[in-house]
Amino acid sequence: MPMNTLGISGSTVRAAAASIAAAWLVIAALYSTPVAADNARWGADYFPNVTLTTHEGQTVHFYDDLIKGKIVALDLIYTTCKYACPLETARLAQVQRVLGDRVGRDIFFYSITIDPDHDTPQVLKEYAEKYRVGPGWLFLTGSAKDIDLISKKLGLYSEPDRAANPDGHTPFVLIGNEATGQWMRNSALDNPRFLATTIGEWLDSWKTAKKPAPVALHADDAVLKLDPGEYAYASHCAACHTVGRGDGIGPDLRGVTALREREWLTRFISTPDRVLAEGDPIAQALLAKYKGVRMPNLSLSRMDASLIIDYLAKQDGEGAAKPAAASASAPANMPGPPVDLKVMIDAYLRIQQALNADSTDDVMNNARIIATESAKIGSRASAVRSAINPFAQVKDVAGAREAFGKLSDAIIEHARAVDAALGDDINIAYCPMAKKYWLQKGTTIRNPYYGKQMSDCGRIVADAAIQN
Amino acid sequence: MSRIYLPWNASKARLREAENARKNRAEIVRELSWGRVSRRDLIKMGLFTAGGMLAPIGGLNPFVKSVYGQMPTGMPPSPTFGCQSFSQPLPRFDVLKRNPVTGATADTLVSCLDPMPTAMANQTMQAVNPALGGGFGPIEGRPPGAIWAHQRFNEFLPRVAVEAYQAPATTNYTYNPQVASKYNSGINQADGMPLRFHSGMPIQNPNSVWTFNGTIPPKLVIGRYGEPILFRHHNRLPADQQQNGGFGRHTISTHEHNGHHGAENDGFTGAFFFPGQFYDYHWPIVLAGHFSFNQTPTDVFMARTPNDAGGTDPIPGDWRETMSTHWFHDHMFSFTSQNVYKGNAAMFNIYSGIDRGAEDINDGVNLQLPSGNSRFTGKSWGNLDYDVNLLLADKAFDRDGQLFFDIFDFDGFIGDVMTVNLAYDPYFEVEPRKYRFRILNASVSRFFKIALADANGNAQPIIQIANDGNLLPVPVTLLELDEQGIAERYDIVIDFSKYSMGTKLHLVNLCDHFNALDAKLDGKKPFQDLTMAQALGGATPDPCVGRILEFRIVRPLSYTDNSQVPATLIPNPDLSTVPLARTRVFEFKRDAAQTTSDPVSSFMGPWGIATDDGITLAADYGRVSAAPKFGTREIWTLRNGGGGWDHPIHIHFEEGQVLARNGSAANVPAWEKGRKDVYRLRPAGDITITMQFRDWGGMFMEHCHNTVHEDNAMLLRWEIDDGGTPFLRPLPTPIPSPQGVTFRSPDDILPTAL
Repeated sequence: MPMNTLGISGSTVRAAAASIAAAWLVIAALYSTPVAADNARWGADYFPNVTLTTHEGQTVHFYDDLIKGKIVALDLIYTTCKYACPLETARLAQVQRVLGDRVGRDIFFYSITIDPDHDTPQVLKEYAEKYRVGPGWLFLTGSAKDIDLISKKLGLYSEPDRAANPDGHTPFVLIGNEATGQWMRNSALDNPRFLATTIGEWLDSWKTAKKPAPVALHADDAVLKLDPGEYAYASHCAACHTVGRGDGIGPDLRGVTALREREWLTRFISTPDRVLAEGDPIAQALLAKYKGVRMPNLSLSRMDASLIIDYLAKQDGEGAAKPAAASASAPANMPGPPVDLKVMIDAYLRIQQALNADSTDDVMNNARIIATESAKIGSRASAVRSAINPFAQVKDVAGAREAFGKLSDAIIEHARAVDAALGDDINIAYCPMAKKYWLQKGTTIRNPYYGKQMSDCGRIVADAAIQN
Repeated sequence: MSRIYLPWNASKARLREAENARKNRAEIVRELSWGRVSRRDLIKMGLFTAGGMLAPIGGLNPFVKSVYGQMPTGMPPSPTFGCQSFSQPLPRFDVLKRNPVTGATADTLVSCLDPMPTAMANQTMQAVNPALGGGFGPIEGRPPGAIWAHQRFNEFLPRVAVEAYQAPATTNYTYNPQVASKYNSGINQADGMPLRFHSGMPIQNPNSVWTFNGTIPPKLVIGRYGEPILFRHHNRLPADQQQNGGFGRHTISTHEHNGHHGAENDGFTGAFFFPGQFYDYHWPIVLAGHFSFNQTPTDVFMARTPNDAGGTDPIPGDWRETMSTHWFHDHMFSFTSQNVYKGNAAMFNIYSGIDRGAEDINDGVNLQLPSGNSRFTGKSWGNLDYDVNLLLADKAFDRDGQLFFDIFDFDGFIGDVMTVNLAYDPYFEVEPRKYRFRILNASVSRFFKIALADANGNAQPIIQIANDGNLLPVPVTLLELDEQGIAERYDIVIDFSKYSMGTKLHLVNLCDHFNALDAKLDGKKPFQDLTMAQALGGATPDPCVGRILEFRIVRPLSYTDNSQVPATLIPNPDLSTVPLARTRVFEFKRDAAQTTSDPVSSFMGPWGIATDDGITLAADYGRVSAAPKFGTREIWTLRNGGGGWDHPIHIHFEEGQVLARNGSAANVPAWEKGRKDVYRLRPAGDITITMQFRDWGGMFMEHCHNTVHEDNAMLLRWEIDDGGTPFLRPLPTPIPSPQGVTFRSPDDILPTAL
């Protein structure tokens, strides 16, 4: 074997070289891995990966299958709960309906039982069906020890106090985005639209929100007139009941104030568990009819119950079921003060002229002006507001032209809706090749979609019938 | 102070070993607490000392938690990089520049602010960062419209503008303590100050700490009555919410605690704003009773604000409601504790004729509290020479020494590294005279109990002059202050004149959060208050107990000490003339049973109102059916129903007076006889307070400190109907987005319940 001057055999040198090379590869690999997000600490190293069973009988790992890379909403329940769980589950079902088919696609709901001895997968399946749970929402059971661990790691754990609060759990819903490491604890009983906005849009900074982000702004919002009884009904009852629209998870309450005695109703609303425990025949019949879904005890006092009963009576008195008190979001063509669109249209025309000259000069600035004007008008200009948004990220003439078509439609439609004049010598024009409309000054065609290439292509139209 | 935990750079094997040991230890204490083994047995086994404390056996580490242990979440101890206590000077607060605003009407304001502040939110559009959804959005994040306009903007036109930027950590090149270097322990303000907790600790990464202007020391706003301030807060945090160092949220809402103003400027938890936006907060700084209080000639004499000429100008309102020490901090829903812990906290000194910050001026109004001598400083108000703001906060670090927070510890996060003004265990150089310290508890869950120790560990007297930033009726001399809850401010005077040159004294924390039964730091409530000897003797493993700040008498007086601590400070407002409208009982519980036989689950939340039939109801809009009447007062009893927690309850908007504790006026200690806005409930205690309702008839914010909002979409406002009766009206809740704010009504019923 050849020896070098140091007396080290060549094979040793080769072996050493190989291991050094290997080490370099490892080091290179380490340095080339992308820098992890700041919040990588709330990931595989944090969440337990215990095994759970779904209500469909499937075995899953908590972190790998349920949490990793997902947006989740998670709560703790047990099916024999007499208190908040029924309302909690009904509420989350409402949130699921608002979020639509996003649940199961990029948002996942999980309800984990804290009573695994009783709540087998079959029991959980029946419970889920009672509450009309949609796909993408798993009910889970497992070993008590594993579930305790999960609940502690997630900050949902609550020490059971044998005397006072045997169930030891709280109606929190943990909402989180594992990829970004943002986790927050909310109430599962909150306004479902608010929860849906929080889970679906806010949590991910509007990146996964429905595109384009429709924003109905309100330059001025009126104060509300809320009836206390209506509010009490909405926040406690509406998740499971309707008035005149048929049975939900619980019975339709139309006519209930005439059907039942007031005293019974008062007791049943405030302490339904006690009424049932006393063997009350009506309560038992209801329980059987509604598939064992219990009316929850929500600590309503007699005064609260009174408010709700009066509200229900009023609904009956006024005939058919009324929709809820007008919510604050106004429809797009509410009458309002006359609108002067001059500033907006002047800015629009400057964009049109720029595009006609194949340039994007000042497009951004003028788009900003249009956005500001439409914000001032408020909700009636929400279509314009939506249409102007893409201009904020426009990079070239092609992109600007793409957005310009929709903007033109929106402004024309808006002017029509608020019955405002477009302005002196402003005409609507149509380009048959691009199949789009635009506004311009004068009658000499200056096509913004084709610019210098075909500046005179198009014709003035007397009355634009917008075709979608 | 002994620290029985592993060094930060212990090997993995050692940590594993420690985790097992800790697990065993936890089992021991559990068995003990359940009575399955007796103390005698444990002593025999060598696991307990004769004094009943768990023996500091090598390898037992109370802070290293195992994933499978009993503790919900775990963190190793924070490394301190070998930094010694009291080896760096206390940096005094960095004063934010006050810029003048002139102009006689809202439309003709002139200031350095660009754009000019407007009563309604500025809806000028700008492009929004694609990380926030792109499109256009308003430059001001305040909700638009008349409801969210600055109330009475024209009557209280801003006269001072202060601007700040909430930004990631960076070096401070514009440090202005507004005092000479000798009053700042020799710190040279011209040196750049990188953001780290000690010169021996690593510099914090930009996304580890987010604070005002991204710099330390913490910021201080100086204000005086009758001079409205427009505080423009810019959000310069990262647009990508992922870039947050593992905790914190880049949307913020700034609450000035406890300003007497409308909710649009109060930092409503749902009125947050986004990176790239600003929010104008309008702080009128008026005395309570501004619109309603009839001043007698004495009142006219006393209700004053300092002017620049050394005199005073009259102001309306009740001078007995003068406030002195405030703070402002983030109030973002669900992220308040994370953001405040991350650095979103600052203080606000408010000066008045009574408390003008000039100890030599004796005009029959000024109390001459320790501050500075106007003849030497040239400033006739707001002198800081001997008036020092102290911000107490416990922190924790990860293995790299970067700020760390356990986001899943919803019970309350306790840190293991003590900081004063965000400096680790600093020292402060003093002269042998009286000093005023404005102490703020800016922790997220930790309570403090402050005492002063001399070199021999003997408690020295402290004079408490204010509680929650309000001067007391009479000063109280104590050997240890009361437990101080989160957000409570205690103003104290320490007289160093009897100590000789070279003496060292220490501010000591006696409040122990180490829960020996669970073997961990407990955020739900203090575990116990220690004696001075115990705290200094290392009786607890809690690293933030014991000496936290060192005072060094280093030089003779710069000038004669003309300051006073008068025998009376500010008498309480006279309640006898204010009709008592009603009494209410609010009960706070977590998830314990209530007093009836029906067990209640916790979703009822912290607020409950007891009614005549004795059942506790959740407080929400529907139940506050009889509104407080304007111009009257009410007596509220706040009761802590759950013994496992100690709640500091903060009521926005008005200061109240404590009438009784646990049913008796005799139980109200001397230092609580003034006006407060944060009320300690103490486990299983109750407190009775009286509050008035007046002036800003505006929004009453439903407030909730550390816990979940049940109705976080709820905002209420007092209004007066045609018959002159005030009632509570719910408002549409703002739902901010980067592209603008929409509104939603809280009772929004979905069309079908199915």
